Amino acid sequence: MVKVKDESGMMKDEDSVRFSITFALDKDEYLRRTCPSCGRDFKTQADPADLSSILQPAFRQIEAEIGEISLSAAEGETKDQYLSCPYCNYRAESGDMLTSEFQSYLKRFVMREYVLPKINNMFSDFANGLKSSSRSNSFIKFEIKADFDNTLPPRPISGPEPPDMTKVEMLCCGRMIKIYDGWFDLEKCPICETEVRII
Amino acid sequence: MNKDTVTESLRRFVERRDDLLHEDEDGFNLHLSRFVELCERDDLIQSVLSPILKKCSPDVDAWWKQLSNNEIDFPSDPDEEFALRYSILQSVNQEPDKVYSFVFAFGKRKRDEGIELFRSTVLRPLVTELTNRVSKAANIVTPEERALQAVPLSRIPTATETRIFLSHKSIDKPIVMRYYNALKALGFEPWLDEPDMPAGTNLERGIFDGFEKSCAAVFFITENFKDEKYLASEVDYAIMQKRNKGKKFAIITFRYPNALPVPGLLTPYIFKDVENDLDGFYQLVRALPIELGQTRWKKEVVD
Repeated sequence: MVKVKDESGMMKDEDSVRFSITFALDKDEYLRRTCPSCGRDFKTQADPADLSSILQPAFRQIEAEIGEISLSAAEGETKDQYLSCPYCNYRAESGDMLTSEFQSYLKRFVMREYVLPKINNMFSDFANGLKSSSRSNSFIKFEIKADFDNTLPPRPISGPEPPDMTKVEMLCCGRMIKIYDGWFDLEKCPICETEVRII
Repeated sequence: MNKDTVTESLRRFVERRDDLLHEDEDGFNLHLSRFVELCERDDLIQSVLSPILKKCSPDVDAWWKQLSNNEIDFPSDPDEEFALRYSILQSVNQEPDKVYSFVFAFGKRKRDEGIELFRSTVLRPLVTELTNRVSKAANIVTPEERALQAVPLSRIPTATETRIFLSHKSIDKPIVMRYYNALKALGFEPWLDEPDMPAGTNLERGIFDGFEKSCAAVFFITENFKDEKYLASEVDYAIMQKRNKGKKFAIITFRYPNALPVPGLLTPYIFKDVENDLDGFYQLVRALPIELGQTRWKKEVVD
């Protein structure tokens, strides 16, 4: 569930719009991620409890691009969660390790479900105002014709997520990840950072 | 189809589908032809499309005629609907000007508006359904695989500390050999005097070395086991190892029926009365400080 507020700061509940968002996991329910440092992909098990921390950094980016809105995951507290890349050990906030496809999907979703309808409403009000103010005076008469396209783009689709990569059970913290087939040089657990070896 | 082929198919599918759905109207014809081309030659997508297109024969001309009368209708049967939508897509690919039918039908004026309407009314439901079906097909052709294990470094022993020292009186060798063979078959590395001490080895040093390399010492107390000579040394060495290695060394004592008393020095450690070898072996594996790894196929089975 995503909550959109009209402007920053404390907002009352009636000022916000809520909508659900779904995104694709692979057949084993893993979420694909991309390391922002080396650009390689890996996957982590999708835990609904981690959703806020997954979405929040992506929301911040959308807020910066679109402006005038504030996005937040409505369920649960946002807690800082970090991941290490299983290939290069780069450490970053969990939500900064999302694929560009995932980020595009989120952006399209917010545009389609919130931003464009709002813009359409704004133009609609503006157009109605102009139409009602068609006027004349003793010197000149003019009419304003207001027309705009209010067709919304198609809703974006998430997935399908390929069933690729190899599962690795992290015996340190009990979590599961997926990494490229044939990659055995895992040095640290991406989740708890314990030094490990694949044996 | 292997996992790599399926992954590549899905990657291309998502890329071309999203281009078709979301990119600018100016490039619509190009994105449409690239999408249809992928659908026609990709094995995974064809595995979804072919059976449906063979089964259903939608009347796409009738549908266009209906649209010119401002009517949009689709069959109630999901496969029929799917086949019809795909056929409409193909027909727009062959005759791009058909999108103007949407412009006229919905009272719009621009080609771009016609494309948006085509996307919303025909394309989006089609690719949503195709996405679901392709996703299912991909999951079917990629079988479940076992996971690897990443073990914390602190849990990985060196090669020279995982032997299991089997302490016994020579006369009890037949019992001990059964444990030795069973441990070996499972993948453990038991230490036994005969195979591990070549002729000429100093006995006391050889035994001491065996303890140094071990993570457990197992004492088989029978009516023959007496706490004297080499057996007494082994008890002393075991206690020394326990002091040095702590939890990473186990002293395990099995008392067989009619056994002599357990040597006093061993009593603070694990000792069990065992009825038979199977019971003893179970207790032994449970008490060891090491465990074996993942299940795997034997080499000769897969070669």
